[in-house]
Amino acid sequence: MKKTLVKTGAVLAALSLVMTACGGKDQPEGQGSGNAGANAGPLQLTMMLPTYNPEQMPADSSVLKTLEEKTGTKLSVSWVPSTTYTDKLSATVASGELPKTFVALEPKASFIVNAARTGMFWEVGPYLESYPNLSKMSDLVLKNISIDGKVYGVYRERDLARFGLMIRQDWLTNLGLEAPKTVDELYAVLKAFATGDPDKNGKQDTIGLAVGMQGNNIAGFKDILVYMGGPNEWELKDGKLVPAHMTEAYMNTLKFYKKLYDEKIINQDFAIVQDGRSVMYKGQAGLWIDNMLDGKNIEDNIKKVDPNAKINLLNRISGPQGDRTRAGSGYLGMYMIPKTSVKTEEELKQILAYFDKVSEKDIQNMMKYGIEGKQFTLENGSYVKNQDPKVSAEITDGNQFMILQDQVVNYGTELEQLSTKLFQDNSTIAVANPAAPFISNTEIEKGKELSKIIADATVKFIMGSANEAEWNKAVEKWLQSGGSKVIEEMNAENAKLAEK
Amino acid sequence: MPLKQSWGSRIFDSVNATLLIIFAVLTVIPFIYAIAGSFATQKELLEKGFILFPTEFTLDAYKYIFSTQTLVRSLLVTVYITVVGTLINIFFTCLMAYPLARKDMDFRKPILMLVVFTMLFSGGMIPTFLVVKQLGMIDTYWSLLIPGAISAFNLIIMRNFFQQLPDGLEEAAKIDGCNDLGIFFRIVLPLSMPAIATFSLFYAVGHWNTFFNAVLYINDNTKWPIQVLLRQIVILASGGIGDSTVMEADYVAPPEQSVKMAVIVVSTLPILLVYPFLQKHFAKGVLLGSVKG
Amino acid sequence: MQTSLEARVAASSAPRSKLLMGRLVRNRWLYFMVLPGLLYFLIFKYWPMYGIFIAFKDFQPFLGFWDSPFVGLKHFERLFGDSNFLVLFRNTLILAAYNILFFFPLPILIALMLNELRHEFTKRTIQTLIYIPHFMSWVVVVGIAYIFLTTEGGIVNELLERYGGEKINFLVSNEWFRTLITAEVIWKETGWGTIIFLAALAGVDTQLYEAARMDGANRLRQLWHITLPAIRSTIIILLILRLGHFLDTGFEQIFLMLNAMNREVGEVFDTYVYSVGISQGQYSFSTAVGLFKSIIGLILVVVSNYLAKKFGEEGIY
Repeated sequence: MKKTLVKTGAVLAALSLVMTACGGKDQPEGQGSGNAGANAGPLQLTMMLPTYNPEQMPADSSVLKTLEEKTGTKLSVSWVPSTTYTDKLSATVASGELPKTFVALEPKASFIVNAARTGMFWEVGPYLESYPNLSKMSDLVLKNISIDGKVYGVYRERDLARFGLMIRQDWLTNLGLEAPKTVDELYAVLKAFATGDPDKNGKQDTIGLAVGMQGNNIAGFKDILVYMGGPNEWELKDGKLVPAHMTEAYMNTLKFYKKLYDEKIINQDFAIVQDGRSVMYKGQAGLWIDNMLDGKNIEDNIKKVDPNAKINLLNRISGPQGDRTRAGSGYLGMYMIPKTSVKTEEELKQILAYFDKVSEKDIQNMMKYGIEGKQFTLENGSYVKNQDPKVSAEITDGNQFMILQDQVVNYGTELEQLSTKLFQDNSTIAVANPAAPFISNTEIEKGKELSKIIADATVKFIMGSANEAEWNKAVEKWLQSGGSKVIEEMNAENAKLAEK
Repeated sequence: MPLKQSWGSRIFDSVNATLLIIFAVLTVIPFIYAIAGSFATQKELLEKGFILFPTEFTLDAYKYIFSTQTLVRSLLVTVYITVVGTLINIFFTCLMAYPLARKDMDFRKPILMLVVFTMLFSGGMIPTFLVVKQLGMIDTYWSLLIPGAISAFNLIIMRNFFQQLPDGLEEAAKIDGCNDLGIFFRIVLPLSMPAIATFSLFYAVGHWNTFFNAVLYINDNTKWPIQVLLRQIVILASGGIGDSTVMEADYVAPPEQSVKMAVIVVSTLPILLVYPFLQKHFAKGVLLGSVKG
Repeated sequence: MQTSLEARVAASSAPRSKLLMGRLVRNRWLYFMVLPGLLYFLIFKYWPMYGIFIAFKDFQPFLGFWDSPFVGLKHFERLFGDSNFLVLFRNTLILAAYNILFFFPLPILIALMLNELRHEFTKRTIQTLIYIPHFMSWVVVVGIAYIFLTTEGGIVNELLERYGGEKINFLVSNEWFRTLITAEVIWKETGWGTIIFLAALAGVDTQLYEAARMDGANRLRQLWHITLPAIRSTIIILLILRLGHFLDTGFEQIFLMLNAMNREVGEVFDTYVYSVGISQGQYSFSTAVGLFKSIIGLILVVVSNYLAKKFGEEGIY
């Protein structure tokens, strides 16, 4: 054995000599080549973006060409399938081989935060005000994306509060019911959906609320929690931050869901349903709670099974604290600019100028709908999409380029127009997450493990395999595994802010 | 084959065959489901969930996937990678496995240990990425062909196969004036067709399933293999919104179930056809004549 | 004096080295054949090996591999100190043991059964059919398992209910989790696993069977005395190689089957590392867990290889 090991060593040594002999001629630093291009000619901008479609925007797309002309930029986009985007981004960040800009879908992911803290990305915050469009960015959202109070990127705008109810209007009509306005009425309607044969087929085959596990969160739970007077993730009470699952409203929501489960008003297999929308698509459920933008898609899908289906959107359900709804973060990912590939401030400014131009009204609309006369036409002011797959492929994932969306014309259907209206209404009653701007190091390191403890206990409680005492034990476990540290760190951040 | 068979032998045969047929039917169900689903309407798939035969036939799914430029292009990419990659694999694996099977070679044990060690320990994804990058292979097909040129697993089993060749072969060939290279190409390789067929299949399937390396090493989406497309469609259609960790995700209307099934069928059929083609080589192994027990 | 010493040293080592030199020269073509493969392993496997060191560092991409701070055993302390460590270890071990006990022998069994089939066409057809599921991705296989086993109209539960039984919540239960995982692996990979044994069986000399039949040996005895010994070394090598990856339970399948109700028995190293390590970009920690798994694998390989050799088998090195 020993002899073999020695021999192994000898072979290794001999061959590493061969290797070093060959490896002497290292290539010169050819990566990026950004500096040279900064002054001469148009800006050469490489970027990495997620694609959500089976087909990608062709490199010679007329939309892309027009975007290049209008912004005076030479774009080179590398698309990454959305389903592996985080893996690829994580590997790309780790290898340090980043393009000049990329989208970080989750700017608070630990690998982004850590990289930002070591100075990997340009801090763009101070520059924003010198650009006409970027200066209009919302302070609230900028705070939400900040890391240790610094803004390391340009966020991609979304409406602040997009959540609401997508309800089967045809079922309401069949049962002669009014749209629910309070939590109690909501329960009554759901119960009727489950027991009153709303689809008139003479069978007990419907349920009230469709529930699935959307990325480990029980669909609708956070929204009903807010309707019932609970907080959005964290509650600010007497100057102290308390996590949602330690509030009374959370327990009430748990009991509400448990009741729905026990009375078979929600699908009994919700714990293994990855996407609750599939229950809606089958035409078996009457209500779905999530991003109301999805209403049209859901209606289209149910219509394949039940052509009479009609979806309506509702946003105001009043509870103990009146009309409330959950605010989102106001953005979907942000563009970041790494210092490893953009070496000079001058080039940084050029890139920010590009982002500023992309936020102009006509470019916003072009990236959303394409070019008039090509991807769509306007007939008497109404929008008609070009159905030719080749032409429409040219705008695929175009919205991934967008920064601000405030001047997009809405050509949508009735349902889409309504959702825009309700988003605006939502913003007047939205409850924000008071801890959104803060970063807890413990949460960054252990957040996933910790949230699993609570998520699992929540499911178990609803399904009746854990009682209130066991739920409390889970909360205790959460505190001990690092939760109390998270609370401490969040409050410290909050106190720091209060001092200022 | 003997004409007379004992009763016990016949019962043994029929029980054996029955069990195997049951097992085969059980394993093939999902694929039949995929085929049936690819021709079915969204309505039927949603209402019934599971079908083995659609009541209403439609070709919409296939029309759709062939109307995109992506499908055929990525299939061609995969075929290219599979054919060229497998040739490279087989050549280098056999070339290295044979000397290691020769008892008269020095240092074979340390070399084998070096190989086995790489099966257990690896530097990880990122350092490997950097090596590929430094060799200038990023965004070229080489990045999908060379970094996996030899599988340690296949190498070790290949060596084991070579060891089962009769000892006398080499001596005889040497007397005839062959050097080791000649023995390898003219005698050992032709005698090892079952093993080569087997490992061709293993490597080919490995290349056919190339997915993550392509995402990692290839930035140009026109060079993506079929699995990248397949995975994207299957996951989106199964309810993944892309990145489940992203709270504010824009919901994307998922592809229809039938499209998912059609892509599964189209991306699986070609590689399935490889096996029956290689099977005939398995029977040829009988020519080997001798085996050491 | 000095010259004579040198001469003596040279003289004493001469016969051995001459022999070695002689063999090296005689086998020069063999070394020539090994060289490309060896270079491949050095460049693509050993060159990146430095990556292992990040298990002992706090890897920060911007600082790079060498300048990231050294933290010693911090990540191992976190792993072993985690209150979940024992649960993870137990879950992983049990699932791995299920795999070796119930899955590993099956491809051998099916290969032997196929080998006994006389009808060539049936044999080839079955072979081709059972290898199909290998190409179904786990998303599809798990999806089908869900459709079959769900309590909401799944075929299995409908049948159970019709024949007087009670519905069983297979998918959200601790008791059924391991059985389901193992059954799915058997369903998907058994046919694929037979290929290598069939190739080994193809090498068996038919004359041996003739001789055995002359001696009046029945089918079972032929199986035991001729067929099995012929593939024994393949089985042992595959087993040793499998032990090297003992703690790899396969990430995707388990990840898809996991839910709140079975996580107590279902969470394994691979899924844990994914959620805390890879998806969060904690490179150092996930490398540390990987290293731990590799060391266990190394121990198992060395021990099993030693045992195999002790019993007169070839072993893998």
